[in-house]
Amino acid sequence: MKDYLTTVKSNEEINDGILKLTLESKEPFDLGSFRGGQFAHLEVPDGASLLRRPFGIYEITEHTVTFLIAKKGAGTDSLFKAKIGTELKVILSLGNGFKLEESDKRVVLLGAGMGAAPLYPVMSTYPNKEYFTFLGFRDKTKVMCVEDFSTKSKTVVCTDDGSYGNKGFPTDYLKAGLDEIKPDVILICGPHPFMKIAQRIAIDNGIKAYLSTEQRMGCGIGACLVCSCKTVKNGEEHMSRVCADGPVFDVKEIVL
Amino acid sequence: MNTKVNIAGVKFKNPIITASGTFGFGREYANFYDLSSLGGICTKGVTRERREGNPPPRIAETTKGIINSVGLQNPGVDAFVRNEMPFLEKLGTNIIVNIAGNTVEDYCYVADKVSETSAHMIELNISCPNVKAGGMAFGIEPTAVEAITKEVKKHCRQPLIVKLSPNVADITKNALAAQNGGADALSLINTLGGMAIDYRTRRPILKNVFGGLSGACVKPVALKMVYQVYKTVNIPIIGLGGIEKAEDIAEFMIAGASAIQIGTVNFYNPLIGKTLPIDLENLMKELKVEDINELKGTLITD
Repeated sequence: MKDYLTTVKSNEEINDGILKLTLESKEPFDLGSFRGGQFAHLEVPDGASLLRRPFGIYEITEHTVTFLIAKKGAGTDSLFKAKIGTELKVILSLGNGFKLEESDKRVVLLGAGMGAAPLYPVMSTYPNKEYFTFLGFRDKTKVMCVEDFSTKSKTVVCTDDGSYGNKGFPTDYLKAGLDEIKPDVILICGPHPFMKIAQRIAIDNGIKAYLSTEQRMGCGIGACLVCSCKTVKNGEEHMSRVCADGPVFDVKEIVL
Repeated sequence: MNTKVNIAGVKFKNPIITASGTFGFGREYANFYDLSSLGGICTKGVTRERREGNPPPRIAETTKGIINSVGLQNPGVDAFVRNEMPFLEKLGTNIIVNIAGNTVEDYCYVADKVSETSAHMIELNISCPNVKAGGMAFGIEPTAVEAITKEVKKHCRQPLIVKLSPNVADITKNALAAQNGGADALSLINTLGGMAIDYRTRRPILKNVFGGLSGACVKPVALKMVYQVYKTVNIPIIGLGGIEKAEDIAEFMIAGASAIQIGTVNFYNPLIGKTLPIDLENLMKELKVEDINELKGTLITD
């Protein structure tokens, strides 16, 4: 992990309230240890927000990094307004990404809403797997990344109201397809209620699964202990750090 | 040029110390720079037993500040001494161990354990606003401050710093009480009580409802209290509250601080401990100050 000085290379609202932000760094990023599911801690360019904002990395190359960002509050709002060329400091790559074993050959990516973003780079980190993607969005105005996923995996897209793709939730479509897909592992990211359902499906079906969590962060590197979540190991409950012990946890260890 | 300062007989290479609770036990920031650039590291608060802290969310952002409600999450003093001290003592900087507890006995137990280590100083945390029992209970009434300082002091081989809360009627009375109890130095201020509300959901942002406010927005409050306490006591003061640049250090020292701590700034600038000592020397050149100690308590009020 390192603090890089970057400039805004492109800044495009790809969807209703969703920003695709690409930053450029003269200094090459350390890609050696990067794993899909890791995140970066971005400076906010308004001067009023002290804290940085954590975002899952969507794409990373030697000199560029791309994020998909939803408009949530003042901090993300000023990222939407950042002009091309704006300087931003970025710490990356942070946290533990998704870890796949050699034996994990058939991989399900299960994402909802913005949760699709950190799942996407997994397919670049581990290119020699067979991927099956299930993505869910509220409605057609929120649908994103479908083309990117479709080129690398068999992709099922649904919306809550059926205004794009299938009607319903991605967890339902995964459940229906489990017998056919026979996944070795399921990787999950999305809103809290969605992840609870996904966690249940994985545990009930005895399938290995990991999920990526989110919490308000301070330092982003594990020192301040503000982004806690409850985990269970050897029958004992602990508070773990989302930023440093996560954000990816085994579904059997995290208490949602 | 001299940046060395002396706090209760302990020499620091410069007056910059990281504040408790913002720097863990140093490991995370050691990934970013060589921590020997720092005058010292003050550890996360350590208690007798392992603590898991408060439920999340534990942080809210406000204008130029943050509110936290971590609640003293730490591995307990035995694990700290076993797993963290060996790492800390190799960093080439002074180590101050912040200690906390629910009872006077707890504090003394932790002080005994820390006294056996190579820590340079002990900081008595009686001002954490985020735990229901203890901590703050000892930090509000001057009589309680004096009593716990006196007891813990008996168990400290190293000089004892008492960290004062700003959430009191008159901080100078608590400062005097700590001095009377035998404190070798004071550090101030701990966080100010605060809260944040989400107007859409009508809920507090912190699960704990209340938390401690820190960051640049508290600097004026901290400066005032450091100045007031400096005029009241004759033991050294470590000033903290919203410091983020060399100019802030100069202001705190002019107000009467012998050294300072940097806290919240670490969160948004992980390299601050590397750049700030250099910035401070540059500022000294600009101010034509040969010895950093020349600044101490030089506020002109006429």
